[in-house]
Amino acid sequence: MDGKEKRRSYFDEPEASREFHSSFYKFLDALYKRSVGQYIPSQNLQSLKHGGEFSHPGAPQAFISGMREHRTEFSIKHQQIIDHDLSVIPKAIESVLDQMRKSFAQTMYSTISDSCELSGNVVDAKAEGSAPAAFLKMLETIEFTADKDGNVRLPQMHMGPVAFETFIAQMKEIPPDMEARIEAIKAEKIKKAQETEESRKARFLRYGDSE
Amino acid sequence: MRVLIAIGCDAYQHVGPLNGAERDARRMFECLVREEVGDYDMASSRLLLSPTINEVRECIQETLLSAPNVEAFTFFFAGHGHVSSSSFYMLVKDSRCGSLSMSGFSLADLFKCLNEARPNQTNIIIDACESGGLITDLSMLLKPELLGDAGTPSVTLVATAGKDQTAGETPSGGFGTSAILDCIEGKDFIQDSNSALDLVEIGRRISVHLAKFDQNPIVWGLNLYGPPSFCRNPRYGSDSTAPLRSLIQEWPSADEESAGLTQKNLWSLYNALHTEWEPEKFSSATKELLESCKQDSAVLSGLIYRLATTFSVRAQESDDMYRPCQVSAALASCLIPYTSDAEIAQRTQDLMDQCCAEIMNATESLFEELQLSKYAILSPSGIGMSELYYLPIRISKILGWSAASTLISSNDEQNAQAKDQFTRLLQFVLENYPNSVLAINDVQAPYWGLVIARAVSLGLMDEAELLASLLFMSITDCAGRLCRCDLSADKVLNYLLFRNNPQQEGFDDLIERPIELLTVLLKAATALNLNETFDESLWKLDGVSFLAYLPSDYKSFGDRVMHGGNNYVWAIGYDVFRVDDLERYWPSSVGTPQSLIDARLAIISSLLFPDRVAWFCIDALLGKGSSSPANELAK
Repeated sequence: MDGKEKRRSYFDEPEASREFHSSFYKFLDALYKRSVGQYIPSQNLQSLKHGGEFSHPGAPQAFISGMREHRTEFSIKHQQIIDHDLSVIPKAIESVLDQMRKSFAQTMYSTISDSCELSGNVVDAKAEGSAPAAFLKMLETIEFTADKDGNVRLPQMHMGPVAFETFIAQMKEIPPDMEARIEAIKAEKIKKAQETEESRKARFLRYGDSE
Repeated sequence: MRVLIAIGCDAYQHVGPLNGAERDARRMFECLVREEVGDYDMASSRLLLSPTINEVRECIQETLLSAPNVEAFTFFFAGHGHVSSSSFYMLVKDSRCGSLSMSGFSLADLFKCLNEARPNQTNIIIDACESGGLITDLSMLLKPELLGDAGTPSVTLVATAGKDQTAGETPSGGFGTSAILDCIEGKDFIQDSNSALDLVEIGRRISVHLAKFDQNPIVWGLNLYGPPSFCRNPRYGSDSTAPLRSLIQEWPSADEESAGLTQKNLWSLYNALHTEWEPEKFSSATKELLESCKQDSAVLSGLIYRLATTFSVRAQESDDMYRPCQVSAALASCLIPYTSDAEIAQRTQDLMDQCCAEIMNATESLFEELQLSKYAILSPSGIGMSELYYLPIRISKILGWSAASTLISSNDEQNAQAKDQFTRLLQFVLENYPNSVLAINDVQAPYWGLVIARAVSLGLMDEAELLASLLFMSITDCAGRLCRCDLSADKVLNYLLFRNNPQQEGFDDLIERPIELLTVLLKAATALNLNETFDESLWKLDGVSFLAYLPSDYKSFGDRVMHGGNNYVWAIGYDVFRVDDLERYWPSSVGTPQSLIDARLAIISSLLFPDRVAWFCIDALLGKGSSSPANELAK
């Protein structure tokens, strides 16, 4: 007992309200998942069944970002309800999704940043002197990965619209030797990624042999 | 008749005396003969203090054999006890240990009389040393082949010590007797679910206490038939379910199977009353119960009274202030088939008067809260988006029931108050919640129909006109696509998204077709001189079909599904292009309730089961009715 007097109700249907809100959350969840899918392929999404962080006892080098809380809220005024202002619904949906998207993007980039800081995979564009030089340095620094079939997916670059325009413009002007250097690094990294994948598979007994 | 013999023996000629046995017998006797405790017949019951063996035998013979129809017989003994030659004996004043078969009182002596007198129930309490030894006697005295047969006399026995144990006492009395008296007087709790206590229950309970004094009571019960009747249960009634328990016990059902079913049904009805309220289920179960008593109107009337009393108390435990009136209304509506009987009709009217008072009570409570906050109509549990859907429906219900309260009472003073309250409520809503006065679901049809028609009949023309206009506008805004009556709560969001942008397609499965609320508004338009206004916007409803269900017989108006009757259907742009067209095609001859009471019952049935509209009432209130009961309502 909290000592608080329970409010009287008048033809209230609390169970129906709960069901309504449950359907609203499911609706938001579906929209949110679609939105997150823009950043992370759905096959890479993992979920936790219980509390506690992920840990990788067999791969201590794996980066653990920890748990981050995402929170959002929206409010509807009583007056909007009794005015039967239906526009509150799309506004609320948009507001929630927007906040969740921003919050997710912040988390994702800060996690990547933390991971890079930890491994030393950080390239300072200013120190490199130009965007193409920084790009070259970045290629030299990072490792590519190959999938089970040996296909290598090149790294994604996320940048703002202005930075992107500048980057594209500068890359069009790069000298031939730098371009050759970039291609050589790409080929080398692709080859290395495929070799790494081959050696990973070689750790299995008779990988791919179903006989 | 209930007969008690209590024997306490302190004075002994041949064995050592005792101190508290007489006091125990006196305490037990004085306690059990009290009407509110044991209700044993004082004149036929006996208290024997330190009697001789002959006095005991004479007393038992005289008491048991002379008393007519002994319903319950209780024998209590406090004194010395002893097991000799595998038999237990109660020692009285002149008993000798060397000749107990002659001078002691055995269970066999008692059973000789019991077998002749055959009381329906016998309770034996022996607070004596070694009293557990009587179990051996019992097995020989009771014939096993008779046990369990219908009509077998019930014998229950409590011996406060094992056959090798002494029975302790203090200056205030024996441990065993004191523990039993604590149970009888309610100091020690046994149960509150039955109006009577069984000696077996008491025996079990005192076993726990007496174990502390190294006494292990023997409890033996053969009570397969008939309710326990040792004494009343002082704790019974301390819980709110007491009236229902009483009702179940007094259920006028001849066979046990039916009684069991009744119990189950009553409990399920009762349990659902203050939580999830489903009028259909309640009504269906209640009708089944009433059906079993319909042969005797006095029984039926009594049953309804007790149901109403019981359920009313329970309904008041609900947070929903309108639950009690709905329960009363549901009970009343179940009586439609029986109102030709004058007694049932009166009982029904009493229920509707009660319902009216409960509606007014709920409405007054709402007014009080509205004075503190104009948002008090909003749900305390579901504040938020869901209210965009539920609030307009709630408002129609609140006003609908208030309108009904002005029509169902037989009390003039109550009627006047109800009218005043309805007027105030309608004006408050129109002033503070005009945008929530809108058509969203077709379940609103009976409520808004009654509200508009009642407002017209009370001369609240401006209010009725505004109301009808707001509702009509909301229907044209969504092109007549009101939500299905049976829409599940998880689909409500989809419907609201549609209403936010009614041009969207793909929501067909959420829409009711045909609708009855539009029929209500078109019917009201003529009385409110809104024909021309509505005609100008009818094109926006092109293709919308609407209906009126008119039953063939209002005796079935409280049924979940009515059979027969007619579903009259029209469509805008097909047979109706003007408001007047509906009037022209409205059936000229429609059935009406046969009596005023049936008319009132039909009104509340339409509010309980909002898939029907009391058209006769709306017609009468709008000045179009021709039947006398309906016109009487309108007055």
